[in-house]
This record gives sequence, C-alpha cells and structure tokens, in this order.
Amino acid sequence: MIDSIQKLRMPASMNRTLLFLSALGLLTLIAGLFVAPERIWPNFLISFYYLTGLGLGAGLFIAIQYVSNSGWSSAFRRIPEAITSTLPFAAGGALVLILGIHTLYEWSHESVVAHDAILRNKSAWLNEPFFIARTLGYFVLWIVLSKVLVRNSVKQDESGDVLYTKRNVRNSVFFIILGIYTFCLASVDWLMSLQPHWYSTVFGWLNLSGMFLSALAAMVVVIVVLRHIGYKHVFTTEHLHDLGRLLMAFSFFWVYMWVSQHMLIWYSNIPEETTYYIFRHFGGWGSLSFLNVILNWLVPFLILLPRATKRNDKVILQAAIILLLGHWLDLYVMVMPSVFGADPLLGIWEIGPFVGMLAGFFWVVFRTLTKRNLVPIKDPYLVESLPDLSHS
Amino acid sequence: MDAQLYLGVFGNEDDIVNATLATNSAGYTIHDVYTPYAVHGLEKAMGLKSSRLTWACLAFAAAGLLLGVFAQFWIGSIDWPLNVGGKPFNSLPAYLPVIFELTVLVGGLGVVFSMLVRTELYPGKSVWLPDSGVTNDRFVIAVEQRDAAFDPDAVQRLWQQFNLIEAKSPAEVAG
Repeated sequence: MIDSIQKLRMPASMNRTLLFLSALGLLTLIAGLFVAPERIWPNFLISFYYLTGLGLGAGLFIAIQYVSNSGWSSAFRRIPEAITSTLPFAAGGALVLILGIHTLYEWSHESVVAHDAILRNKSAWLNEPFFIARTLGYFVLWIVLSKVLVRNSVKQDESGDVLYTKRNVRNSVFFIILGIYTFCLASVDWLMSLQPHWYSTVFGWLNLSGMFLSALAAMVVVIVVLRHIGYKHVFTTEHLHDLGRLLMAFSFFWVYMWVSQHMLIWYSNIPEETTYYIFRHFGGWGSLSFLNVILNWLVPFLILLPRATKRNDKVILQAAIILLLGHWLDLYVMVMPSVFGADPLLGIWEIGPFVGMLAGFFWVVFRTLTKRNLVPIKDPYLVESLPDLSHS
Repeated sequence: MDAQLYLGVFGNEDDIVNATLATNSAGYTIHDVYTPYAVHGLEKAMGLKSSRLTWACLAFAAAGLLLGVFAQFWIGSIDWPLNVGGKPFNSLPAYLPVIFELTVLVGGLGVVFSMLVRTELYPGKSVWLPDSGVTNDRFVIAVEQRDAAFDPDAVQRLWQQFNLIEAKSPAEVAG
C-alpha cells in the first residue's frame, strides 16, 4: 500500500509560474542594486534572512520530531526535508550580503567607529572579517547538520534499517543545541547590529519564534497544495489538524516573545533601549507595528482556535498565508527603520525581492520533492503516522 | 439505571473497536464501553458527539481574562493608585503578563474541574465495574436492553465475529 504512493510530478503551470516570478524577483534585485541601492539592500537582507529562517526552521522541526520520538509527523517529514534544501541558496545570499555590509551596517565604517566609544568597545565582535567568518560559519554548520539528517532519512528508504533513525536522534540533539544557539547569534549579527548601540537580550528568541512559525506556515502551504494535487490519502486531515495546532501555538509563542521584548523596554524606559521603539512607535511605523501583532497573532489565533478550521484546507491555507505575509512585515519593521530612516514605503523594491524569494523557495521545495519518495517509506514510525495505508 | 444491561467481554483493542462499531451500526443502544486504557478511535465507533468541554474552557478562559483586566484596573487605578516609574495608573501593557497568566490559570483549572464534575469523579465515589478484568486486560461493551424485542442471542452472535470471550448480564445493577 505504501509502495503504491506515486512520486510527485510538479504541474507544468506551477513550474512555469514559480520560475517566472523568481526570475522577476531576481531582475528587480539586480536593477535595484543600480537604481536604488540604499533601498534594495535592506529589502535584500529581509528576503535573505526570511529564506534562511525557513530552511533552518524546517530542519529544527525535523530535529524536534526525532528527539521526541514523534510518530505523528513521519508521513510528511519529506516536506521539511525538502525545505532544508533551500539552505544552500540562502548561503548564496550570504555571499551577496557580504557585498552590502557597508551600505547596511554602520559599524563597518572605520571612520564612524573611531568617533564612537560604544562601537569601539563592541569592535571585538562587530568587525568586518569576523562578521564574514561568522556568517559563512553559520551556513557551513547549518547545511552540514541538515544534510546529515536528510541523508540518513533518504538512505533508510532502501534498507529500512532502524539504525538510521537512532543516528538521526543523536544528530538532532546537536542540531537543536547548535542550531538554536547559532541562529540567535546570527539574528544579532544580521539584524540587531543594524542599530549597533541598541541591544535586547530576548532578540534571538523573538526571531527564533518568528522563523519557526514561518517554517511551519510554509509546511502547511506545501501540504495543502499536495493535498490539492491528489495526495489526500497520504497527507491526511489529521496531519493538517496537528500542524494547525502547532501553527497556532507558535503564533502565540511569537507574540509572547514580542510582548516580552516590547513590554520590558517600555516598562523600564531606559534611553539605550527605547531608541529602538522610538522609531517604531509613531507615524507609519507605529501603525505597521500594530498591524504586525494583528497579522502574526490575533488573526491567526482567532482563525485557528476552532477545531473545524484546522481541518479545512482552504481556511488553514489562508491562516498560513497571513502568517507568511506577517513574518515579512515583522522583519520589515525590524530592518527598515534602522537603515532607511524615512517613512514606510511599499513599492517594487519591497515587493519584488520578497515575491521572487518566496517563488524560488517553493520552486526548490517542490522540485526536491519530485526527486525522492514523497513519504519515508521504511520509517519505523510510519505505521503511527499513516495507519490506514500501513496496515494491509 | 433504568435499563437492564447486557455485557460483552473482549480481550483485544481492535476487537472492541470493531465490535462497538458493529453494535452501533446494528442499532443497539450502547450504554458505555469499558477499557483498561484510552483506546483511540473508540469514541468515533461509539458515535459520541464531540465534547463540549472546549466551550467550558473558552468560557473559563474569558472569565480569567476579564478578571485579570478588571482586578488590576480596580487595584491599580481605583482602590490603591501607585505611581510606578511615572507610568499612568491605568496602563494596559503592564497588565498583560498577569492577564495572560490568569487566562491560562482559570481556563486550565476550570476545564479540569468541569470535567471532574461532569464525569462525576470525586473522592469517595464508589465505582461499578462490569467485569473485574477491565482494570487489567479485558475490554467490555455494555448495551442497554431497552425493550422486550431485545434478543441476547442475536447480540451474542454479532459479537462472536470479534473473538467474544464471554457475554453475560451483569451480576449487580449499574449505579
């Protein structure tokens, strides 16, 4: 029965649309580098960071499933596995980011650091060579960690050896510890140092919750699309329901972290810390900060609260799309005011790279899914995840 | 207990689910199914409606939320206004942690106690066991003998397809 699951073939129209959109995004990015570099660089950073978070978040999801010996998720584990295959592309983005250091990061200018006591004291961490080395180091680590997990899982399809699962449990422990720690550091490097005087100790966790949430939302989108193509018997309503619960829980976790950062800074009212929110509290940015909480928490929370909506393809897809857009807005409010002081703008330079990145992301994910078995056919936990197909 | 019960004892999880499904679709009134542990899929086989506990949870959580908002507002701005760091007496962001905790606490405790009350689980409650094995390795289905047309032999024949161990009337009447 399990063997009868057909390999995925990407519908031609989807293939074309996604490729077209990602090419368009790439063109916008290249054009922007010449026409409006000071606006395209922060938008590039947003898309690059978004893509990194999706890949790493999916890897983290797999690792958590292994470590907790979870059975429920093994039927659709190939989907987060395919999402991790976007990490090398994000690494390519990191190479491009290195070119933009001087446009984005104030601390990279020696003339600024020379006249700034705070930046001088931070220069042991915030200096260009170390920043580049760290950025590349993170990606080497993440790609190796996720490749190991995926490789063992794919190998298991042939032999069915339980040893692969056991090895992956051990590898996942490293993934969780190292992945979370380095992602927090990477968030500090790439985003928090945009405003190098400012600091927040919860910044890493805030971004961790956002990136995991966006990875879950992307998984929901992929599952709903696959169900639509005709894999309802493989990716069942129960899987969708359970993922919907996680989606709601992590939406709440995100707002919990958001309030944790916002409320403590507001309450203690220390000038070093409030500089960050002064920008983001008034005018257009104030409205966007408000919208951020609505999109990332209130709307998904209300949508996903009843049982029926989590089991309905259309409704859960809408919630996932709102969360994907919300995560972009979250990063936009985080990045833009620091680099580009003016009022919020929404034009081709904002939309182009983001849409291109998402289209390219989904293209890579679906493309990877066509190359492997859609289900880890010899996973020891598959019986729990797909009881109807595994028996008989 | 209005109706007389008729019991079927089984020795296997799959058997009890299938037997329940067959009994239910044959039109018998299932009084209850007794198992040593929670069996997945049984509530569907019994044809139970989805639990209303979620609504109780929502109501308690909303009550906790209102309590959190109102208590802090009343304490902080009406009964005993204190100037904390120059903040306004009535400042919602400062209330959020307590509101959140009270929502979770009242919602969580409320739903547990609702469940205990509804299922009549309280200390000193005397328990009726249809068969002493249901606390160990036996699965028992109890159907109600509603009228004279109830034919124990027919039920027994139905159950025998699912490796029935024993069919019987209970020794004492259910409480």
